[in-house]
Amino acid sequence: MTTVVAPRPLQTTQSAPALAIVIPAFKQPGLLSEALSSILNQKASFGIGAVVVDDGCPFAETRQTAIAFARANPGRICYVRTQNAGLSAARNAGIGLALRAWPAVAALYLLDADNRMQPDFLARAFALLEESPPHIGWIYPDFDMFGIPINHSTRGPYSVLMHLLENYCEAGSLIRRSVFDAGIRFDETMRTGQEDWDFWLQAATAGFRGRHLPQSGFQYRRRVESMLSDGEGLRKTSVVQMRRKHEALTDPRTLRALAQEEMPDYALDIGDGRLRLIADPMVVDDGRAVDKATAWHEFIEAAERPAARFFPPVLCVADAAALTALTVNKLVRNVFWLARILLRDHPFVCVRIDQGEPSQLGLRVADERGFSGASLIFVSTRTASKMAVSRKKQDQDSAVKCLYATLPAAAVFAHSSSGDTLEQRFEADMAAMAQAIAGRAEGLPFDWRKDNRMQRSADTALSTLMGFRTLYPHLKRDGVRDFGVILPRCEFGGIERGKGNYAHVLRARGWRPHLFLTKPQTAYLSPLAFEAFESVNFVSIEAVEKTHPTRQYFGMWTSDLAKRAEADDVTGLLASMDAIINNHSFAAHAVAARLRRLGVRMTVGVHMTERTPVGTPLGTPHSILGYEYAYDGIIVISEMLREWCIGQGVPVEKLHLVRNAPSYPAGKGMILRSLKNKKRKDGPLNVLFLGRLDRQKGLDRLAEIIRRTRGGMIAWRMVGKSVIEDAGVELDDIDIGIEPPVHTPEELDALYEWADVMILTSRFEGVPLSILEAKRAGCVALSTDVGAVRENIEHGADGLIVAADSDEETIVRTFCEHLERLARDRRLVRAIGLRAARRGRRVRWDRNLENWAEQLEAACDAISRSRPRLASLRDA
Amino acid sequence: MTSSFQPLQPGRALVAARDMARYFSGGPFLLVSTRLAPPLPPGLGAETILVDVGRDIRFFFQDSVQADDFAEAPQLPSDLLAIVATSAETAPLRALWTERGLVAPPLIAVASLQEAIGPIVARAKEEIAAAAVRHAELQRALVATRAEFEETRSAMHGVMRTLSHRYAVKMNLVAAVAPLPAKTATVEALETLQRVYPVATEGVTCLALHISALRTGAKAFLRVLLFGAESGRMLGEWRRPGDALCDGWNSFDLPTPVAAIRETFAIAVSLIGDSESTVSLSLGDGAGREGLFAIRIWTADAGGRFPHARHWIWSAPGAIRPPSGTASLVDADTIGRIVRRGSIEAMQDCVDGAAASYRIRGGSSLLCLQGVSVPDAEAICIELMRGIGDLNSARFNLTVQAEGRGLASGWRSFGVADNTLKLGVSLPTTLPDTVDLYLRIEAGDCAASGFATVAIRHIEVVTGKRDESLVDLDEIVDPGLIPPSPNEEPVAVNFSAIRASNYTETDKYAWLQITVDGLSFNGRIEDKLKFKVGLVDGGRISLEFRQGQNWPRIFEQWPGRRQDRFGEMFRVTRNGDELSIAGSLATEADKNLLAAVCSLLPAIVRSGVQNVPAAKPRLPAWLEAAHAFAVAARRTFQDSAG
Repeated sequence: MTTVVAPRPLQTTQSAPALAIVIPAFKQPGLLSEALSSILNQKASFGIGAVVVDDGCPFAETRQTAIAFARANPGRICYVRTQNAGLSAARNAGIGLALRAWPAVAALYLLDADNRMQPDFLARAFALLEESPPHIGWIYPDFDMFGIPINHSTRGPYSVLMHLLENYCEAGSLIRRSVFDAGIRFDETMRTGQEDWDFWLQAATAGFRGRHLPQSGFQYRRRVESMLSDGEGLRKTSVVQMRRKHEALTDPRTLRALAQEEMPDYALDIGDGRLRLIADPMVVDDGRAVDKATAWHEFIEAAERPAARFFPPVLCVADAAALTALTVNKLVRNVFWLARILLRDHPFVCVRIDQGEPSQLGLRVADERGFSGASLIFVSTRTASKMAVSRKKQDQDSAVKCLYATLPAAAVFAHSSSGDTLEQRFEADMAAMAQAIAGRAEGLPFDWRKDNRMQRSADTALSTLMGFRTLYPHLKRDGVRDFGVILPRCEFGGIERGKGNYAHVLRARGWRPHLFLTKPQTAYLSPLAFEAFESVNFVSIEAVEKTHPTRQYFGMWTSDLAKRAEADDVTGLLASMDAIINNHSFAAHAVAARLRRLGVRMTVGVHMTERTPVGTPLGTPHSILGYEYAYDGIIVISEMLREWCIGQGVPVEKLHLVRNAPSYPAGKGMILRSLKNKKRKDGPLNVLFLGRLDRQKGLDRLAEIIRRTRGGMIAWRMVGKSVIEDAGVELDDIDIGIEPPVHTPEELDALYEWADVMILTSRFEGVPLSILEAKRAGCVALSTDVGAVRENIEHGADGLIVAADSDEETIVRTFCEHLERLARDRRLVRAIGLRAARRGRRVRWDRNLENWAEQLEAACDAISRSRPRLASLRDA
Repeated sequence: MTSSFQPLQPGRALVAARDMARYFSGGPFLLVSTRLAPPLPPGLGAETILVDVGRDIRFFFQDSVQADDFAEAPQLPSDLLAIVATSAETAPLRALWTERGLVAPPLIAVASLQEAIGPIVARAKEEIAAAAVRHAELQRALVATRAEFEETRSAMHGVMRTLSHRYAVKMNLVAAVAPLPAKTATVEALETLQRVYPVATEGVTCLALHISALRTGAKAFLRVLLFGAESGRMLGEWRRPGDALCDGWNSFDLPTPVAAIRETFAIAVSLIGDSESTVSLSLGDGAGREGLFAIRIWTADAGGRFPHARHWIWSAPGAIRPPSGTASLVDADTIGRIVRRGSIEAMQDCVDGAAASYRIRGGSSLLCLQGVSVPDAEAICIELMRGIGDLNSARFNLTVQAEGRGLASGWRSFGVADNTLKLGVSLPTTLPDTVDLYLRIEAGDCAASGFATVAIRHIEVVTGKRDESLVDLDEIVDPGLIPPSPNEEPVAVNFSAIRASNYTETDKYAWLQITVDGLSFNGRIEDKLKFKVGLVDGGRISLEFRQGQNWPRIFEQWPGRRQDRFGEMFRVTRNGDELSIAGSLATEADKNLLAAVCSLLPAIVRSGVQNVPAAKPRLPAWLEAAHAFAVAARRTFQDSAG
């Protein structure tokens, strides 16, 4: 219910003005008297003063009219003539004069000379301003136009984000004095329009916000040609220029924060009778919680007047226990983000939870029917309102998109058992929305004025202003940086384990790491990585890693994503990170430049140069060359790769050498136990192969070496798993049982304790972590001279290296000779092992990453410092 | 004075901050150099700004000479009659303006103030002359504007007069807030309740408020103000006496739709005249807007409707009287109060386009309508329409009378070729603002054909000045001389259109879907009703109402208890002499609505069946059944009321 200010008898107060009106006058002498009369007709219990600024008007009538009013109303109406300098300058002149002439003025009103006001307008606006908190800097009316009669509504809560898209605050607004005290004035260089808009954005930057005054009584003269119409013609260019001025507002971080504050994406129902309007499902209590009756009312208003009211575009009805399980297992943000994308093309998305293997996480999309067994149900509120309008009901067996979330076996949880089932709660919510719509349709119109503004949508705003959509549901925390690790897949490979350590180290330095996986729908995380990452995200967009069919950069594939709409989603997913490291993802290459423009510090990691089946060098280092410009830095793990990059034209300053280190901290006492074990004088030499069973590892060589050396002197153990189906067939006839891969530190420690020698027969490598881990345990690392192995093994001192450029027979023979020698000379084994252990213990991720992390943090600080922050009067 | 002042920057214009507003308001001022003054001549103090031309140039009023808050002037004083200074000061003073891109005011260079008096007076005369020219110019402009306004006003009056004699356009229901059970706001004496609705005032022609309970004394009036929320401008006022209020919907007509005032609809409701009275207004489902009165608001195009607005207060601020000659139509509710005497029967199935229809069988009869409000009216007209039967020999005479005085139209008959007959009475000044109307009918030979029907198309009240020369010497009608008609009951139901569709017929039944627009009864207006009428069991009428998609909400509380595969339904059938109602009508308003529909059934059936070719052959059966149904309904609802 709205209560209007009851008409009061006219009060002609002579008290010191509490409100001043500024009227710039130029070439509208006949209409000026209407504006002035409407000032004198104001019914207010406080004093009102007015300043007419004659902006060098060539018509004497302007002066005559204004002077006549000023002479007849001494102390109430002032007249001042200035040299013509445009609307902004005239307003500023009047503002300056009014503030000094009437020090007690609490608010200023800007009235154009051809507009007018109803008698209660200023009293009503002033009352609203007075009852508003101090951060409310201005009270703005609807656009009630006369002449050409048009009535546009500007009702609804003020939104900075939407104000960046279009100006819905009329210059004829009542402005709190503190706005001017903050030094905000009209930009006198803007003489082609948008100066009002610019003014409001200045005020918004300073932390002020607007507030709408319903049934204001402001009257805007709409003529065939008006400043507004002229402004429209030049709009595109002047708007771009104006937005550029407001860096603090248009900074991507600010825009994201505004979007999340003003237009949270999700309405979450966890069964406690309320809806939480949230932007981040990991912090469900951070959003506004409203009782359902209020929520459905807001939903209806938003459905009817989407430009005036906002309601989250997604409703999620969730089982509280399931939501907690998804949160604890790091998948909840991913689920919410992906559901939003799927809801674009599908009316409903449900989430079912699977139990996976230990350390396994997954998220896959499937087509299903009905909601049976679902733990979360998502529906687009637009779909819900359409269904309500058409009175369609959700069919129990209708097609839905289903997200299967795989949680580690240990993450067993019981669905919340109290009250209604999830389906019943969902149906009840849908019915309530339908009932609200049905009830509304027969009632009152929302507003008799038209509302031609854009619909309130964070996606629309972010897409227009920043070029991405589907914001990752992730609330930034002040003073905490977010670090994104992008990998195509995550199992237990060296790169994954390495990046898990990046996350671990950065977390210890105060960052929040997040893992983004572009290819698979399942992943395995080591305990260290699981602890380190705050969230795990499967991009799950079809063909996101698809390469372009023809466009190659010197024979290397390039991404196909950049020009597809999905690139906007991927950007939205990643844009909230402060820094990202991409490891082998083409999709990330495609959006790297955009992310960098959005202020994300982009780094790409390169690890090794692979070989094609015909022996051509080709690999991830080649893939980055076409995207080098898009990255701030490139991390290499070896001097060799660094030199390779320099040779390929990568700027030296972009290169960071971050050497690998053992992927996990050694268990307590493990090294001593291992070294002690290697002191034994009898028994066979224990040789360990540990790694993926694929051709890269030179399995044919290994098989031959085993054949030739098997016997009493040497005991073999093989631990690993083939990642390609037919890989490992070379080992079929060697009659050694291949043990399954191990991942826990305890299991790995046990292997290294057992082994005297760790053998690596690879044809190409980067810097295998197993070498570093074996060395730390005092094992003799025996490896082909590939990749950067030589940078990590000093031949004869802390390991043994076999030249890789010989013929196969020579390589196999040399391996065999080394093994036989070691089997015979156990003192040599101990000596090499002891040196290896001494050196290996010093190799740690935190040390290796320290320089790069410091540089990264300095760069992020520089980015933060370079971007002006939005002031917040509310916080103050 | 100058010695105490330490200039901060060279060449600046400084003013006493406390006087800042004075420099720019309340002129014109003389700017007089301190080297020529003081003392200023008596009377010149307030109109003079002193200027001290030094390294800085300081402006101050004589009473601010000791000011210690001099500050740089944001602008220069702009309403100066002249600058009076020594010749040495003119250059720096002129520069002050020219350096700011402005033209300096006239400069009077003198050695003493005495020397300046002549030029100052000359300058003042120039200013006065310029002001006089401007004043005369504006007077001429005002004359031209007034002339245009007068022409416009005259033209508007002509247009309104013409439009008022045309048939009213259809009203559009633009807001409907249904009453919620048990939610009310009680208006007590001396209390005003205001509500604002998101509806534009432009075009508003009628509103209805829903009263859930009344406790009003004889002197109580419900005062309803309609105003624009933005300006507070009054757009209408009604003062309805307590005995003219009823439970349920109470409609308030405007004499003509609100003109082009695009503001937000607001009402204020209060009770005046009796401190003991209370009126409980139903609150409605305002979709989250708590506390809104249940309301219905209709609009119509400008000049599209001129009802005779009951209880409208012409003297309310903002309410403009209609031009002389404007005809306003007496509303259907009032016509529904007509009482019959003699051999005349009211027909429930009205002739199309009529407000009321009657069957006459010969002899004398009388239609009486008492208590018609006619302030500012110069004439009352009644337009009759032929129905069926022979009316050529029938005569009609309209008498307007009050307080034992009256004037009659004289006896008139339908022209042979005419379908309508208009009777008019000019009102004498001797008649008060409330009069009784009597239509006397001499049926003549129409009895020869059994009966004839005649209808009242409308009753017009024409505004204008009453003729003082008229003498109220006509014969006074005494209704007591004619015996009351049988089945005396006012015709109180009216509608604007009936549509029929979806006719289905089998051996056992026939069904017709009916839509009634603008049903009005008991002060209530239903914008749209939809229901089905069936002819079942070989000749009984059955009414079927439904709720759901595509069925407008009719009842305040859904009375039905049954469902079929199409949803919820509510059926009413005739069971002998009474109706069988398969449900419960919880509110008085719902009972009244059903009674109104039932009483209209013969008209509904006639109109509906006639418009459906497939149904037409069975029209007599439909009509017979509808009449039987209407009679049973009357009995049922009378019993219920008793």
